[in-house]
Amino acid sequence: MSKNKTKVLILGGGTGGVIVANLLGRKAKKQAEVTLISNQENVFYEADLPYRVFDKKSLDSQFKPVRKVVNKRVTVLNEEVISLDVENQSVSLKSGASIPYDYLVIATGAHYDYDAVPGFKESAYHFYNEEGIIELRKALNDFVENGKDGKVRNVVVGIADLPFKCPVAPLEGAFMMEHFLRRKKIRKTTNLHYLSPIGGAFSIEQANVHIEKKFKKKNINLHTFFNTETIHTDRKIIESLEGDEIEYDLLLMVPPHRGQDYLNGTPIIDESGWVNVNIKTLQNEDYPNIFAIGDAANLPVSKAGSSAHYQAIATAHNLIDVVKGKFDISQVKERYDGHATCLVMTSLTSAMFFDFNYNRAPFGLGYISNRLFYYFKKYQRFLYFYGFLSGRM
Amino acid sequence: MIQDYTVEKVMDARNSFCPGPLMELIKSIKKGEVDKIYEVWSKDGGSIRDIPKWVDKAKHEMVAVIEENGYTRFQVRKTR
Ligand SMILES: Cc1cc2nc3c(=O)[nH]c(=O)nc-3n(C[C@H](O)[C@H](O)[C@H](O)COP(=O)(O)OP(=O)(O)OC[C@H]3O[C@@H](n4cnc5c(N)ncnc54)[C@H](O)[C@@H]3O)c2cc1C
Repeated sequence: MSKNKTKVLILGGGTGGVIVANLLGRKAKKQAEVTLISNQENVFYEADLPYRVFDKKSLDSQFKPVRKVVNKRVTVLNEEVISLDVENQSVSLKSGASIPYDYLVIATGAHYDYDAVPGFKESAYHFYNEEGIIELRKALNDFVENGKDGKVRNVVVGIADLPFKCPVAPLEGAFMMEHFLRRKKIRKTTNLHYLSPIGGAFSIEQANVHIEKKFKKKNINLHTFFNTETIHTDRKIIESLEGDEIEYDLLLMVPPHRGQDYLNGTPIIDESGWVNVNIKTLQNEDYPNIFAIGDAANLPVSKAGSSAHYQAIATAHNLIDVVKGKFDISQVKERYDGHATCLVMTSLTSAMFFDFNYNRAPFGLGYISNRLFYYFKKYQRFLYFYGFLSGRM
Repeated sequence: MIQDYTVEKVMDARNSFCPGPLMELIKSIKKGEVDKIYEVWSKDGGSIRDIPKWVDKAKHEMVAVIEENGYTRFQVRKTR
C-alpha cells in the first residue's frame, strides 16, 4: 500500500464502523488507507431481537459476515483490540500486533456488565443478545405452563442501569409481552409492571404522553423513578435506590451497559467507559484525531442503530474532507444534529415511529400506532443490510 | 448569594438533555456520602420538573435551586 496515504483506523465492525468504512473506502480511496478491526466476524442486526423472543424464529437471518458488507478496498482484520495508546497513535491487538493510525474512529459499542447490579445474573432474563433470548424463551414457556393453574402472578419489565441501547426496547418488551399474554389467555391473571428510572415511561415528554396513554389502556402498571439497586433472588423482590420494592415471578430486565475494557485507563473516557466527544463534531476535544460514534460515545442521544448510522455518515464526511485536504482536522464541521429514529412496537402487530434530533421532538403522525409501521419494522432488516450499511442511504 | 455550606461535587450537565442531568445527580448520590451536598447544572426544562420530584421521592433534601443565566443549579443533600 502507498506510503503517503493517510491511515484511517476504524475499531468495531457493527453498524457505525461498517458505514464509516464503506464511505471512506468509496469516496477517499486515493487518499486514505482504511482498516477496520472487529472481534466479531459478523455484523448483527439487533432491532428485531425483542420480537424474536415471541415469534421464536431462528436468529440466523440477523447477521452477515463483516467482510461481505464492507467495501473491498478496506482491510478487515478479525482481531480483538486490547489497548489504545492515544499519545503514540496506535492500538494493540490480542494477537500481539500493533496498528498505527493517523485518524481513529471508535465504534466498538457497549458490553453488558451483568455483575454491576447484585442479583441480576441469578434472577433476570433479557433479550439483549442471543443467549439471553434462548433463556428467556424457556422461562416464558414455563411461565405460560404454570399460568394454567389460574393463580395471579407478576411479570416485571425493568432497566438495570442507564444508559442502555435503544431506550424504546424495554417498552417494546412490555407491549409485546402484554399482547403475548393475551394470546396465551393468561393476561387476566398476570399483573404487568414497568419500572422506569426516570419521571415517565420515556424521556421525550411529547412521546411519553402517548406511551403512557397506551400503558393505561393496556393496564400496564408504570412505576417511575425506579432505579434498580438490588434484586433479592431469595425473596423474588427488586429494590430501588429510591426505597421501593416490587415482587416478581418473571423478571425481564435490560442488562447494565458499559464501554469496552480496552478503553480503560485512556484519558478519553468518562467513568462508565464512554468516549467523550463533542456532541456535534463527534471528535474528542483533547485528541482531535480521535472520533467516537454509536454506543461507544458519550452523547446525550439514544444509543441506537439509527443514531450510530447518522453519526457514521457525519464522521465519514468530515474525515473524507480532511484526508482530501479540504480543511484541517481542527476545523471539522458540526455535522451531527442528534438525529435518531425508531420504530416502536406497541403490540405484536403494531408500531409507532419516532424521528427526532437535539432540537426537535418526534413528528405527530408517528404517534399513531398502526400496522404499516409494524411492517416497516418487520422488513427493516433488509434495508439495514442492503441499504443503510453501505452508507448510501 | 453567600453559602454557609460546601458542595462536595459539581456536575455540569448543560450539554445534556433529559434525563441526563438527573442521571448525573443519581450517579453521584449513589456513590456519595450521607450528609454531603451534590450539585448538578442543567439547561433542560425537564430537569426543573424531574429533579425536585426525584429528590422528594428518594427522600433526599433539596438545599437550593439557583437560576443562572440560561441554566439552573440544583444542590441536593444526600440524607440516607
Ligand atoms: C434488543 C435491542 C433492540 C434494539 N432495537 C433498536 C431499534 O429498534 N432501532 C435502533 O436504531 N437501534 C436498536 N438497537 C440498538 C442498536 O442495535 C445499536 O445501538 C447499534 O448496533 C450500535 O452500533 P455501534 O456501531 O455503535 O455498535 P455495535 O453494532 O454493537 O458494534 C460494535 C462492534 O465492535 C466490536 N468490538 C467490541 N469490542 C471490540 C474490541 N475490543 N476489539 C475489536 N472489536 C470490538 C463488536 O464485536 C461489534 O462488532 C437495539 C439493540 C438491542 C440490543
